[in-house]
Amino acid sequence: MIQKKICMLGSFSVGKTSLVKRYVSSLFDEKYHTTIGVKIDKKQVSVEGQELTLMLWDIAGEDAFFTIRPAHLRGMAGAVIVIDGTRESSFDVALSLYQMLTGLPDGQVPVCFALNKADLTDQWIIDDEKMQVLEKTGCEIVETSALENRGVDEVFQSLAGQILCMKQAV
Amino acid sequence: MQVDSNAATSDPEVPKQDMQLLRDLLLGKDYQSLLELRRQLNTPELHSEKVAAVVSEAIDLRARRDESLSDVLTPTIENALSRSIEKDPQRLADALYPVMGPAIRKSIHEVLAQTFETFNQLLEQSLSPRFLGWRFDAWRTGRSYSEVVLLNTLEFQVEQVFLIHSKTGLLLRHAEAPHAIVKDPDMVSGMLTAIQDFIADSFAVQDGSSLNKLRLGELTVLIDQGPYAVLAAVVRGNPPGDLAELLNETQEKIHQQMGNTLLNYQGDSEPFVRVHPLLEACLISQRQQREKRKPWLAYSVLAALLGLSAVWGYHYYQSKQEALRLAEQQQLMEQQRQAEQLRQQELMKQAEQQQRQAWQKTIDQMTAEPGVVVTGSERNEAGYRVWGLLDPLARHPETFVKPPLLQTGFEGEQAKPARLNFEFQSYISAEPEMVLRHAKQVLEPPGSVRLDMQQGVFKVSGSAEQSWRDKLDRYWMSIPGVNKLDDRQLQVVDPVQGKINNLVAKIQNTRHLFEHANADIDEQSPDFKRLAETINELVKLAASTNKNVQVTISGNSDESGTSQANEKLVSARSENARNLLLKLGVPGAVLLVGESMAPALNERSVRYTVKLY
Repeated sequence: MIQKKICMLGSFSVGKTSLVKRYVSSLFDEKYHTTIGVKIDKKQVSVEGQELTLMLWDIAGEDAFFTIRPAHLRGMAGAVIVIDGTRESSFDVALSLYQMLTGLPDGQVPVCFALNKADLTDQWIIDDEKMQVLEKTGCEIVETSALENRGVDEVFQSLAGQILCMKQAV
Repeated sequence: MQVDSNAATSDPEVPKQDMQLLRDLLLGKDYQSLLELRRQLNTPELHSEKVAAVVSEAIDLRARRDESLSDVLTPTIENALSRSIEKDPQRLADALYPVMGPAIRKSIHEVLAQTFETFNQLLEQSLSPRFLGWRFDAWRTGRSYSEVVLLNTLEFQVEQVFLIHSKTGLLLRHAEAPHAIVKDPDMVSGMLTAIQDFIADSFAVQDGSSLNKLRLGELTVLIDQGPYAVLAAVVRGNPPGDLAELLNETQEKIHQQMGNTLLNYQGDSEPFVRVHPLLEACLISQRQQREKRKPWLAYSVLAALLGLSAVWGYHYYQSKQEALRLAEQQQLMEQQRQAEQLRQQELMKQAEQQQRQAWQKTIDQMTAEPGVVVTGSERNEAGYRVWGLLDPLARHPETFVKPPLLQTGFEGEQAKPARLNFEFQSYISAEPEMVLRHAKQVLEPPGSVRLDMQQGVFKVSGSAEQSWRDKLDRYWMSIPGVNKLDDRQLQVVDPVQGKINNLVAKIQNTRHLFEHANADIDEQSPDFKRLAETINELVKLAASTNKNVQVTISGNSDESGTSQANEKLVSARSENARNLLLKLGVPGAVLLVGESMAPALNERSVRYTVKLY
């Protein structure tokens, strides 16, 4: 059984937690977020017949008062950066997070952007320009909605696939 | 300078000696050594010899350095042992014999001691409030009782060991103790790493420092930070100091064995199965060192049991003794009863004997009575039935036989006089006395005539009137038992003289009896009155024939008492009789108090003697 550490990143209240809530095995309470800034869940995926255990490090949302501890990112095999599709600031935070990830000493890891809250189309602020910025990164972009149960599995499947590809390439 | 050896060897012209010379010049003696060294390396025998010289030291050196030698040699030794056992088990058994014997003995001793200890614990468990509390805990928490006991009696127990990849926080291997409460170890290991990071970041500790102990209640997490992996042990209770050392050693071994794998870890935890035994070796525990005390509870229960059985035994003994005593008493009573029965029988026998004797006496008494013949008797319920013959003139036994007492033979029961039932048939007895009675009945002799039977002869003496003489002649033949008459002594007198003779005889036959040592006379006695009349009649008749009468009164006494007292008594009796007769009208001239009659009579009486002059 292969295990991989995946970090869930994104601005505060972009819906990281709600996104994974229904798809993972959870052991720990939400309060860990506010105490030690991270909560760990587990997600089993199967990619091309290969079973993979993703350890999801749901890291507290970055904001003015809470910065991500670099130690939490150490050794990750991939990252999901969650963007609140109705909030501009979350997009900016996502980009800066991506920048941070690319600068990590461990080298580039597969990243997947989750454009969350896709059900709130009337408040949607992700326009083509923004999409182009994201696409430029070469990362997978998936629209998700925890409410409508949309895109969540794809995010993890896609990320798992990329990780395995990278491994084979290595 | 460079030697072109190829050119040299390829040129056949160059003589071999020259080449040798050149080598010697260039390399000197070292060349020979090199050749020798090569030869040794290429020849296995020589090489083995060299290695054999140092192999022990090499093994010793390596064994001191680390334990890899044991790890490496273990499979080989195990295989060798297996083969040896397969080949000849006896050899190994013989070799182990000196070890096994003491070990088995020790084991048996331990098991026995343990059993006793367990028994004691069981007693304690079932009784002490502490263990009752544990039962409550088990019920409350839904755990098994043994689990709760284990948890409470353990000083410490390493419940889980995590081997975590330092960089990713991913779980490489996890080992758990039985009964340990385990939640998803993958997530726990991640969180543990996160916490470590959090602590390290939050408190800005120096580089290289790491969290090595977490404590919550009775749980402690000991963390050993290695270069590539973290070894975390979850301990319940108080972990001993050397546990950290054990973790550290284990960590070193793991890094030693899996260094490269750890370094190049890409999420595949499969290779770390190899280190599982090392992790399991860390799952140590230590039970609370129970104070080595005497199992007093077991002892006291044992003592109580012994005490109870002793009490029971004592009571059993007592009851046995009591039963024995009762049996003896009963036996004694039975013996006494039998003895009593025998005595009663004896008494009855004696009573019967006495009865028989008494009855025989009675029969004898009846038989001795003239005119009575007892032909038989038998005993009945109330007394006796007697049958036989009875002369009509004989005294009926009823009048003189005192019925014997009927003895029952039982003590305390009063003897009753027997009832006598007589069945007599009449007969005429030929006994002289009865013949005389019949004669008297037939002849009615006057007082002056005396009748007697001597040797079958009916003797008649005295004096009688002619009329009576005629009666005798007429009737004597009809008297039963009289065959012959002798009347030579009979005088025929006139009627007056006959009357006088009769009166004299009557007076002289009279006697008056007295109480012992007493001379009193009942003045109202009719006997004296009659005597006085008779004397007066005689005095009158005697006067008609010109004769005087003198009656001498003589007193008598029995032989008891002194002669002096008797003399007084005799004279007093005579005097009293005379005085009374005087009172009754007898003339004083007639009465004379005389001497005692000779020969002296042995009776308490007065008698009278008549003289006519």
